[in-house]
Amino acid sequence: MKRPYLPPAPDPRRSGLFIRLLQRQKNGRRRVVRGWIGGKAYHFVDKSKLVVFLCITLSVALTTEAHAYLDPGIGTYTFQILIAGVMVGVYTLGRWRNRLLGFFSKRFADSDGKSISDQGETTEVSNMSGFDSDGKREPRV
Amino acid sequence: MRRAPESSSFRDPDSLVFTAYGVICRQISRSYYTHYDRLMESGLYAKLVRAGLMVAHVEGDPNLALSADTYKVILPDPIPFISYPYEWSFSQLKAAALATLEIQRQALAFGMVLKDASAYNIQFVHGKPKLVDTTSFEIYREGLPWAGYRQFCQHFLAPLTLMSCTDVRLNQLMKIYIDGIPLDLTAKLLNFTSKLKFPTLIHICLHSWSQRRFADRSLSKRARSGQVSLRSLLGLVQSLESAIKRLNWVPKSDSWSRYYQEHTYDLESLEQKKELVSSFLDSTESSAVWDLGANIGVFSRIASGKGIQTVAWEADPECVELNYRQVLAANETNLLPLVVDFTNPTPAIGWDNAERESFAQRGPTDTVLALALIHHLAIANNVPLSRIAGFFARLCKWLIIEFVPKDDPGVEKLLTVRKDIFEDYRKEEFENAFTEYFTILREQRIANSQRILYLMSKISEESRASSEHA
Repeated sequence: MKRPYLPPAPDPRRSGLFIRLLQRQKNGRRRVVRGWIGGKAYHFVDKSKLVVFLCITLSVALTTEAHAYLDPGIGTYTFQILIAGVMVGVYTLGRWRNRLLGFFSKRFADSDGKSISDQGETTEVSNMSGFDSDGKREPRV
Repeated sequence: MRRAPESSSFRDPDSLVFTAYGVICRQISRSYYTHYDRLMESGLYAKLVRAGLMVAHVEGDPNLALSADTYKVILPDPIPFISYPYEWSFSQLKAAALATLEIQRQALAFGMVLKDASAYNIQFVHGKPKLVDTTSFEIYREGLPWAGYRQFCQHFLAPLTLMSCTDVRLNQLMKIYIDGIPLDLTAKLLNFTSKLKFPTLIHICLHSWSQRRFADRSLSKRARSGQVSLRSLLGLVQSLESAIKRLNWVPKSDSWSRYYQEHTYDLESLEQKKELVSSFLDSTESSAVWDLGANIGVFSRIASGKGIQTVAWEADPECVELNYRQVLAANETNLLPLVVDFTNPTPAIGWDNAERESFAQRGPTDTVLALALIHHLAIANNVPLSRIAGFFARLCKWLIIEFVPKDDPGVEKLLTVRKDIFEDYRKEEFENAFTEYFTILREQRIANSQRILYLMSKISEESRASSEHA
């Protein structure tokens, strides 16, 4: 079946709005709804998902703006954008190192009954990994 | 006055700290309500409080608020003593920096972010650094850079790098630059090899270059909308944490640190002096003590050991560092070591000279210990005894002070290469000067020494006024 034409969405980042637009098109008997959250497009073909989407939309739209009282500094702001790639690398390397240490920690734990993560140095490294120290909750990336 | 805003609380429109009936309160603006609710409901607040990284609070009567657009009024747990980064030792500043980064990471895990990273938002409670600003969080928005990055570098990374790589006394620059040490100045003060280290190169040198390069430019719309992913932000936190952890400073065994080991007292005299101080303290009704010239805190621990909140002030940063390490090692909760130069005590700084309080403004305390200090003020710094007595009278209700006579080896050392112009520096003159403000309650000579320990209580202003009138 030929897909109906869906006009390209305006870039929500450029508009400065978190949620830009909902568009509706007929698709045979079903209505397809397309929305954008944070630059990602979502398709909805049933009403329940649409309701969830609208709830999220409303809750986000009703979020108040805290006063950004602190001047981040234009040079610092730009600098963070410039080094963003490097910092992703730092994060990824840290994560790999953490996994590697976790792997060896398990191996040593299996053989010695004592984990390397019990030792001070490794604990320090694991704390630098970008995860919660208790490991239960981690940022969704 | 029943309710009054704190003079330092004016920058952030989202909250205002004020005193109501002697209790510190914080009012939260309506503009901040979604962020406050997220903080409380997401579990972030509970987690940070449980981890000892943030002060707890209870919600209070909204009618206490000073303005109408208030969402809530909260009553944070009281902070025993407010201290500032320029009074902290190296390890204290480092602990505060790591606590800030840990809080930032926890916040990101809960979909929030620190909107600032001021060192003044951290206070030492029971020996550990805690965030005291409940409204430092906002809901994280994907793509936006961290607004507190510059502040973190200026408040923590720059002074710690200078203290570690150049000279430990350079954190005193924080007194001049209230918003942290400028990065270009930091880069100039660092030697070449320090600049080559990766974290210094990135977060100080290149960061400083970027500040100069883009200072006069405007941001494109694309850049303004943000291009920094969550991974990048976590990488930034990780990189800063790694940089801070690598910075170290080892105090040398300076003369002050070896003070008790090498001279002044034999073991018997030292033990007798400890017993006297303990006995004098028991004669007072102290809930707070300042030990001035605390050295590594030998006598401060007599007070803190009795459960009294004690601040151990010392001019030598090495002693304060050793003292703080001992606090950490023994998990001491009633002792806070701080750096202050008594010949030039911490001034009030900031807007209208009212943002950060001076040394004396944070008093008066119940009892001041001034042991083996008087000769450093009167002889090494030429301060007349009457002015020293007036200074102490503004600081405390009870004074435990040691008079060190001229024939003491400590004073003889000070007068080795200078002319003795201190005719009035005698026991009688000392007592005359101090009885102007204090009543001498007890007086005891220390064994095997000419030194005398006094316990004095302050004469009330009314009594002084009536006796002057008579």
